[in-house]
Amino acid sequence: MRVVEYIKADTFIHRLNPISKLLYTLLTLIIVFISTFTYDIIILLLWLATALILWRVAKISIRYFMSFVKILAGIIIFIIVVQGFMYRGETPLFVIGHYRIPGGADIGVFTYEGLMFGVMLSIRVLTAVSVLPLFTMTTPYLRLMESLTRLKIPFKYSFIFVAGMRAVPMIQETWNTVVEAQKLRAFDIDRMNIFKKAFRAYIPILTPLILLLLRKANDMQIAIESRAFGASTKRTFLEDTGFHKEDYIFLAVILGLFAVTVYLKLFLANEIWDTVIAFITRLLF
Amino acid sequence: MSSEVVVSVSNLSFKYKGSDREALRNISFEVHRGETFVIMGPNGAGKTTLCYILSGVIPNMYGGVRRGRVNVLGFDPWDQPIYETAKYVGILLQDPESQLIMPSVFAELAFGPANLGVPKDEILKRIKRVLEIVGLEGYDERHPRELSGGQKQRVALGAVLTMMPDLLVLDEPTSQLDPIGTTEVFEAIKRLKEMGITMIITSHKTEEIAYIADRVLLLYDGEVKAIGRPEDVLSNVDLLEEIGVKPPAVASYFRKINIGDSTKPPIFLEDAVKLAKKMIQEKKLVVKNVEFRNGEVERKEPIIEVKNVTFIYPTEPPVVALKNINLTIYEGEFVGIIGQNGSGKTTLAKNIVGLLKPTKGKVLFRGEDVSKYTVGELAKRIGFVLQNPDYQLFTLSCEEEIKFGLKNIGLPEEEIEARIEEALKLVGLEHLREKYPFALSFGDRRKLAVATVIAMRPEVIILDEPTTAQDYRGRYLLADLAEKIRRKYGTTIIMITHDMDLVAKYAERLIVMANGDILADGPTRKVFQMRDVLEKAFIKPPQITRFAQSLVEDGVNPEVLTVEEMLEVLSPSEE
Repeated sequence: MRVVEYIKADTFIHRLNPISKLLYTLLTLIIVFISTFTYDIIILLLWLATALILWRVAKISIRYFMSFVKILAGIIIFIIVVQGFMYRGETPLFVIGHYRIPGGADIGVFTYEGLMFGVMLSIRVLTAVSVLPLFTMTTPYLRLMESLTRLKIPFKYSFIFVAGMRAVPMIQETWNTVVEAQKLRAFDIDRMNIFKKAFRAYIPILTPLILLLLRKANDMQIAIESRAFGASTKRTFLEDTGFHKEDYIFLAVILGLFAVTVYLKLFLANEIWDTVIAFITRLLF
Repeated sequence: MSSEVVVSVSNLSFKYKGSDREALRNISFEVHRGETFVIMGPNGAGKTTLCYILSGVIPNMYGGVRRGRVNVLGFDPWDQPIYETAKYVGILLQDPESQLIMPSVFAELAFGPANLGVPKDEILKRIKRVLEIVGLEGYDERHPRELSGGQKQRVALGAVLTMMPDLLVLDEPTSQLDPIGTTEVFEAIKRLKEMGITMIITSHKTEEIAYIADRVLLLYDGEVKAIGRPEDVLSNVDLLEEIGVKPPAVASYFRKINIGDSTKPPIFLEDAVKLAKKMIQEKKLVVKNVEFRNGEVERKEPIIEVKNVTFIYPTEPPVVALKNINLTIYEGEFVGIIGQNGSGKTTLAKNIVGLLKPTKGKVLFRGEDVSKYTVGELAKRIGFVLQNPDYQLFTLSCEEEIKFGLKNIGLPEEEIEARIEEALKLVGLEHLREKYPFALSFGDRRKLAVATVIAMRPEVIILDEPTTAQDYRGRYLLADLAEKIRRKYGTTIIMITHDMDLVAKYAERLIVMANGDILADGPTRKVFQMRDVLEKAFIKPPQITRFAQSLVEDGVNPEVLTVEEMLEVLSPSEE
């Protein structure tokens, strides 16, 4: 997807060492992982807000975020509807019938607790997704590869990853051309049922695809080796892989936030959430 | 030119592992510093093998048995890993797509020298310089996907140049590019020549390569057939024709009018024009007043009608590939469609065969909207021959391969048998019917691909770039077959191509496309006279047509398409 590709700019986030950004991404994912109760919405929103502020700092258009929301809209609605009916809540919002499943909730009733749990799950998804472009759109691959080398991860491995990424569109294009080629011979895979597809249909497509890719892989290997990949000399680092003042400030803030969040989660989130809800309820009714 | 020998090959023979035929036999030659050394020959002559041996790809990637001596800058690439040879020999391959491995131009150019541990400042300096040479300043951060074929190939060339090799080996660097891309790459090569870089280039493009070659080596079936200055080698029309290398059209012309044994036919257009003018003055050549037929067949029924078709690729951002196209193709015509990549030729063809549905407008086949049919149903009536047969072949025998399509359209068994028989005969593969398609030569694989199409008995055949990566003889193979089928069955042929010689030889009607528009549509010889239109589409008429056009003041009819026609309008005086 184009949206998540590196865009050149000179912002605080762009200047950060990729490792700092990786650490931040990791911490966010940990928060997402440990947030499992409805009242955790509070801390999820805190990290989602942090991500969006960093989006601003990195000068990434919020439009991209909206396109994420759009792509995920279907899933979010699905989660909320399913949780609304399935969650064992006590406060019914509306009822479409009574279907009690043995030992479970009445799935004909849409409950307030279910709605909130669904909202929490959706925010979890959004929070996890929101850190992704912060990393990919501000980090050139080469800088990432070289920074990882500093962490003693061999350049070879990160290179395999990057070359693989490069090969994906090539494979896709080849696949499309082969499918078209066979369609032109009245072979229409889209119209076949799933069993036919699984057992027979892919042979006319996979055979030419694999043979073509093997040939391209040969060319690729020549291109790589004839440019001295694997030479015994020490590789030159082209990108800045050091840690600077920005990194220390950023890491201090993020680690601080993480500590505060964990404290909140353990001792206060539940209470704050109840207070907030009580306040909103009073405002509304 | 200094006389330092950069490459010295003597009595080189090579046999690939598992093959019983020698790919190279007793090759000897030397290349001097600063020289542009061009290797020409038909496909299968051993050009690529030679390139691989010089750059160490053989034996590091492909094994085999070698005899003879090879010396490249004091080393033998046979004895060392590729990354050692890579320090002084750079190699560029045909396919730009598979040579780009990094996600940005900058990273691509830095890859080689960084592997060699060149200091950072030096690498940055080299990248800046190389981007100038290949004409891509300011493209540092681009992703390869955003580049055109010609740009990609120049990035691949740049990526080799940043390693500052003493010798550049370019293996058919333009064979997969459109005319613009070809010109761009040749411009970069010319700049390198001026800088005194030693280059070994293989190419089929005689007329273009003649301008940059210092010496030419003709390779045929693994053997050296000639070696020398381009003026000497490329003017040897008989030898070139014999081994299957395209002679410059003007050389062919002068060979045929027999200018005496002592003078060599000119290989450059400019020299040919000068010589012709002189010979006209001396009354050795006589201008004849010939009116050519316009090649307009009496138009029968319209078979394909494209009505107000607009096509937009729904990408982000959307790409308008066809802008309100109107076009009628008549039964039995041979139509050529030319234009650069991205001009909309292939998109138009895909709209006709139903692979794409017009965003606006409609395509009619014999008066009926093609959107009513599935691609498969349409394939019975409109055949589409792809550039590369390897995208479709997958069975274990030629017979099976043809049967596949016929079975898909649900023909009865005996009908299928009869059609396989007929199709194999038409393309001349009867003797190979049991053979494994991938064991066939590339030319035979393409014939087989055509057979799979004609067995469906389509009323229209579309040829997509039938000359890509082809040598002189291979170029005409598909068009020849198509013409044969047209004569036999009255099939309508539409040919999409970059090859102007091919268009001139076969197409009666020519359509020029640029930016999703039809710029010109008319009899081929008329269209080749529309200078401003062709310029807009970055297209040059065939050399022989340009030759005639340069002699208009002398009364020569410029509407010439072939060497034979040129002989008609300007023939030797009969004394």
